[in-house]
Amino acid sequence: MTQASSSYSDNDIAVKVRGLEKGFGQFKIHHGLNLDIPRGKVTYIMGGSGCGKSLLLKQIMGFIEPDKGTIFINGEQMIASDHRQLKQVRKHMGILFQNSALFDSLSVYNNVAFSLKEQLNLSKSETDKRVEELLLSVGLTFEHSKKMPGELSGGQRKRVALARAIALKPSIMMYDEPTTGLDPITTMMVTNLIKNVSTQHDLTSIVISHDTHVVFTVAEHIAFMKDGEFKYVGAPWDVFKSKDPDVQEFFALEANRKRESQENA
Amino acid sequence: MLSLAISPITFLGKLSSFIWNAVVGLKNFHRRLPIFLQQFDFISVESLLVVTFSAIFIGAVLSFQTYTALHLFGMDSFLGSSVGIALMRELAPVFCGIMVAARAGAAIAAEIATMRVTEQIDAMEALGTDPFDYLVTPRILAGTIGLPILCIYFTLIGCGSGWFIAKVVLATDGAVYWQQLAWAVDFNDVWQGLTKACIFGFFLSVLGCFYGYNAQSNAEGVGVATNQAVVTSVLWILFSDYVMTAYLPYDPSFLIL
Repeated sequence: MTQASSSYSDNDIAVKVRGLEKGFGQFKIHHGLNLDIPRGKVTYIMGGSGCGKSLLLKQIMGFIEPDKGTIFINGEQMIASDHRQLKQVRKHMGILFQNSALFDSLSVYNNVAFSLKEQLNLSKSETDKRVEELLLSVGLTFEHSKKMPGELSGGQRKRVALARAIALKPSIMMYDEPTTGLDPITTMMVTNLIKNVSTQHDLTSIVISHDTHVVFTVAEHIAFMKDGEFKYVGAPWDVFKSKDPDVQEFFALEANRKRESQENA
Repeated sequence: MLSLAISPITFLGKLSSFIWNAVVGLKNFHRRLPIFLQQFDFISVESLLVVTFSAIFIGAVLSFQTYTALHLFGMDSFLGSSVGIALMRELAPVFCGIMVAARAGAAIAAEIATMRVTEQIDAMEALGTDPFDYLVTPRILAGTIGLPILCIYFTLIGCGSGWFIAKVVLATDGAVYWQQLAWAVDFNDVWQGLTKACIFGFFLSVLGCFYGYNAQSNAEGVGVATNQAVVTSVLWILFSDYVMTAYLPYDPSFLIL
């Protein structure tokens, strides 16, 4: 069973993962994961492709049921098979998917207003006002609301998806590889957006990523996963003190950059 | 060998559970009325063109072929009744079922599979909306209600086309055609035709949704789901047509007793 970060009290932990095991047939992916996600901070879960990062996120969201182990969201145990309980727990969570997952048949307005119309009994003017606020908070204007998802750029799609995800004011926001496949400028824009939205809305953010170069500008806490186990959990800059060869190898490029910048200074 | 025997049972188990979830989705149907109407328009109204053309040619061919057979025995006057009964009880539901499965069933499977592959269904769940009552239930209802209406339309167009061939091309008495048709086609024929159409509409929409919803999350998934939905729907329509023709009570009065 892999070690969890345990320097936080229960009240300071938004998501607690204990003894999580998951496999498909003979192929085991998670070997008893333990993890504490601190409340109100931006936590990056890192690791190479196929190590099970997105799978962990899907288990936290309740899309996939773990074989063993438990997940606690704000102290409440998550039971993926109990749809009613799941719906309640999910009210605290929002997610930004890798490909934004905007509803293609709905306009930007209807995408952002989707959960407002479904879950809240707001009037048309209240919904309009809320959509405008949400679009502004992600750097878009109400003019964008008339567009269809197909008319937006990759960065704009991410912004709309983020506005949609935070519409119900979740306390925990998850990002599944938000910068994968984006150009460096859009990557920086999305990374700053994560930071700004987390601060503005006082969110606990969990970001799945394997981009080491953007992590150190935003992350307040990181967890590095390899072969279904956490090899490092802790503060971002302390990762360079890790003696684990897998951690050293993964962050080698960033360590070199850091060394070079120190030498230049 | 064992897995071959188990797989149909697993499939039926999954399908039953899927249908049950769709039935549970009915509790929110009042909120899904706009989606139902949109789907009804897509499945039924937008199928009118293809159904009209099919009905014209099926009715015409049926009139030709039946006349050839009846003429041998000097029973030309029975042309209207033969065309009417064949269309109402058999050809209209089956052809409508197959045409709509190919057009709308495939589109339903492709749309839902695309939503699955692009994580739109996961996003919907994450936003607290049940994909069954939003996506599946309105489509199944639209298919089940829409197909009987298309079936009646198909029968009317087919009978009209048959009459045209009988009167203009085969030079038989048009009035006798309608007289015989009205005499022969009774409520029981309509009941059997519409029951079949309802069941075919249910099958094609359920299977379209089922394969789309359970599509694999990769590029191949959409194509495979669409293919499976159409092939399975057509086979189920033909198989259940035989079962209903053989075993469905001709007289619906048993429902009252």
